[in-house]
Amino acid sequence: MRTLLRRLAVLLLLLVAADQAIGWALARMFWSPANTELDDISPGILYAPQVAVSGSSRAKTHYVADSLGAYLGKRAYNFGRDGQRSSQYHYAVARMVLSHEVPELWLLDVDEGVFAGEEDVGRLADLLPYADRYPAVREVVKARSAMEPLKLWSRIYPYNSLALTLVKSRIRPHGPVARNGFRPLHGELAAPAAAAPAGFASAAGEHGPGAKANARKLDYLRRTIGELRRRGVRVVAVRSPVYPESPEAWRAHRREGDRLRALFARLGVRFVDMQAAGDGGFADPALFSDARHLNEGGATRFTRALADSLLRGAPR
Amino acid sequence: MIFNSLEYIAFFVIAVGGYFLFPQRFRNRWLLAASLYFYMSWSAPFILLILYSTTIDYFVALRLDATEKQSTRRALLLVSLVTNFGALFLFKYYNFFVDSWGALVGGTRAGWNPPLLHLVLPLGISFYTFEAISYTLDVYWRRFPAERSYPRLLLFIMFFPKLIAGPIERAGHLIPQFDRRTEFDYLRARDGLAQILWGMFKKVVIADRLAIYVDAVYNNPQHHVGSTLLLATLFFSFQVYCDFSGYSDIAIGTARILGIDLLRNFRRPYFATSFTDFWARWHISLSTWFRDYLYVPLGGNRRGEWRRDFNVFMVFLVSGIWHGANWTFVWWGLFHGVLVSAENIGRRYVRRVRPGFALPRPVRVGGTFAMIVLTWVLFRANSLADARHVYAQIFFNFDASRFFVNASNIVYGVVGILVLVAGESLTERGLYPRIWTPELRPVRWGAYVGLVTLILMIGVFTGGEFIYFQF
Repeated sequence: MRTLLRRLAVLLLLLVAADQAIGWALARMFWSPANTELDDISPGILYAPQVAVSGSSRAKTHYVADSLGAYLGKRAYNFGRDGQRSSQYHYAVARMVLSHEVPELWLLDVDEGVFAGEEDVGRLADLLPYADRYPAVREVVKARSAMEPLKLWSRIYPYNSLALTLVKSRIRPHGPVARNGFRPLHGELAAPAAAAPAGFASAAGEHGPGAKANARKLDYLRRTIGELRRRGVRVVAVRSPVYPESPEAWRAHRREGDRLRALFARLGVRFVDMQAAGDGGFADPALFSDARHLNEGGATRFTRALADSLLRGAPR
Repeated sequence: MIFNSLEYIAFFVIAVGGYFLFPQRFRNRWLLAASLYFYMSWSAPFILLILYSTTIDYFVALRLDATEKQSTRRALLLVSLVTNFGALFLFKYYNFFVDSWGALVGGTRAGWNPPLLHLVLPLGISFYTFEAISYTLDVYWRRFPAERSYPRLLLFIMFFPKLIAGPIERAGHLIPQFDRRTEFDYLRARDGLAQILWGMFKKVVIADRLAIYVDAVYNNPQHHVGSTLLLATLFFSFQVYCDFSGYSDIAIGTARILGIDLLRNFRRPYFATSFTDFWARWHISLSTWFRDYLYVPLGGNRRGEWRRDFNVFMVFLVSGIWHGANWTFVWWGLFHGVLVSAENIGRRYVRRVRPGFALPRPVRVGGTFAMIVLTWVLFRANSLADARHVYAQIFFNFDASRFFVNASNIVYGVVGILVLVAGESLTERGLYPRIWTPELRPVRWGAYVGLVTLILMIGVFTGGEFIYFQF
């Protein structure tokens, strides 16, 4: 037993050395300015935005940040990221930005996923590289599993599955983040029926209308709003448009809007529903790349309409 | 608590540490307590099912041992078979049977329309049921005396490393090892830990990584062309192997540290030179179970060549059904039955017309592997319609220009496969024992560090359960 323990101790030392060396190299590549493919948050923080947008791929592809900034006369940055619908992501990004800068306005792009349904803890892996630098993020990623704090002892683990992209960005740098984080989508919904994706129910919220509120998500939503307000940031929740394929989907979508409106009224946050009563001019499939995402033309129209709404300041 | 979790590592340390800290006479009780905890961490109520069937088998075996009267012995055997197969049928096959019956007779026309049951499949039921049945049959055939100690019989069924997904143990192999005095053995512990690490690598780096691509494709096969479906099927071949053999490696390694040898379950199956050879290398504990408890009782090869082919065919049909209550598994078993039977017939023919003829080994290995990959379509497809679609696309709409690229997952998956193939090639060439020589210690340690580093770098930490848990 003693021999085994002695050799395991030596092996552990070797492992720690390898972990530190490789983890250091991966960290260097991740935090390099050349790595804008995986890290579009740091450039956003460096940009010191006065208007910040957080949310999922819908945020990323809907908010034309440079145009929004021009309309509002401020620097705007889009922190949207694929799959990040839950409030934990809003919270993590808000805390990261607030530790450097204090924006004037924060736009939370929301749907039911922000406060309801199962947590997709796998998605929180996107935040792992930031856990070392930002204690607030470290707290968020702990939700992935009870053993997460232990895994975070490893220096490689936060960069799990990123090596290939990091090496690629080293060989062929991606260039600066274009259009302040906005990533346009192309293509149009040709015909509503044919274009409706398989999981179209998602247009009415992927968790389905009336999905059960999730206590942890709600808690993080409250904390996000509280933290931003404490630092003097104005918070607005925005629901960007979808293209429901059927009357049932429309009804479900409206019910989701009602729930969100009631929730944000309780939280004392202005809620802008860009599709309320179908009057946003977004009932045109030509504006959509798929049922949940606007294409570039749709995003341009959405951004202008949102800016108008924000400038008017009137609740919709 | 799955093997590829830190929770299991903590449990493992406590279970193994406690085992060697306790005096010899308490060790089996400790193992039994650990096994009960292990299973109950999945589902506490289903422990009652195991206790129920084990209790019946315990008393049946004692009575079988005590009586010589053949009719009584047959009746006792029937009680055990009905108890074990009854539970398996109820939980695993009842709904499949009702569904298939309905499809066969056209719903209510037959006048008998039993309700579907909404039961959760108890973990490991197919595995521990087969172990229990083998025990009763061994006692019935007087190959093994009835176990007098109920806790020891329960430990045979519940021994935690192999409880959920095998290897399917035999009483005659495992129970005597519980009585053996074991002291901590450095070499056994080293070998066991190395096997656990290799199993973890196979599961976390290869199986769970490939699963991302395979699931994306196979859950929407209609959206993919033949080239994508072929790669997904090829990936699934490695996924299912690494998933299952990874589990077996961790189970065997864990038991080895405790001083217990479990049955071998895999022997580099993709190096098989024929379909018969494949089944001598794949899920060996199940293949030998079917050989001993189905093939031989059916007559084996004692009643002529054609009867042997029929028996082989039957074994594969039952093997398919064992894997899952779905027609895809039945057809998968039949496919293998056809391949092995055709191979036997072909071999007899070649032996007659060209004695001594054999294709070069690489051709045999490659040909066998290619056919095995095609059989996996049935195993992975969600339905027979999906399987038909996959075959049609692979053979008639390959269309490499519309290949679904998922670069990082493909690259990481291929890296894992290359490491696997390199490791297995060394073993296949008989070089594995040399790794343990003192001169090669730096290589060995380099391999340990390399494997752990790869797990951290490209392992999937949100991977799901082991595929064979569903069986």
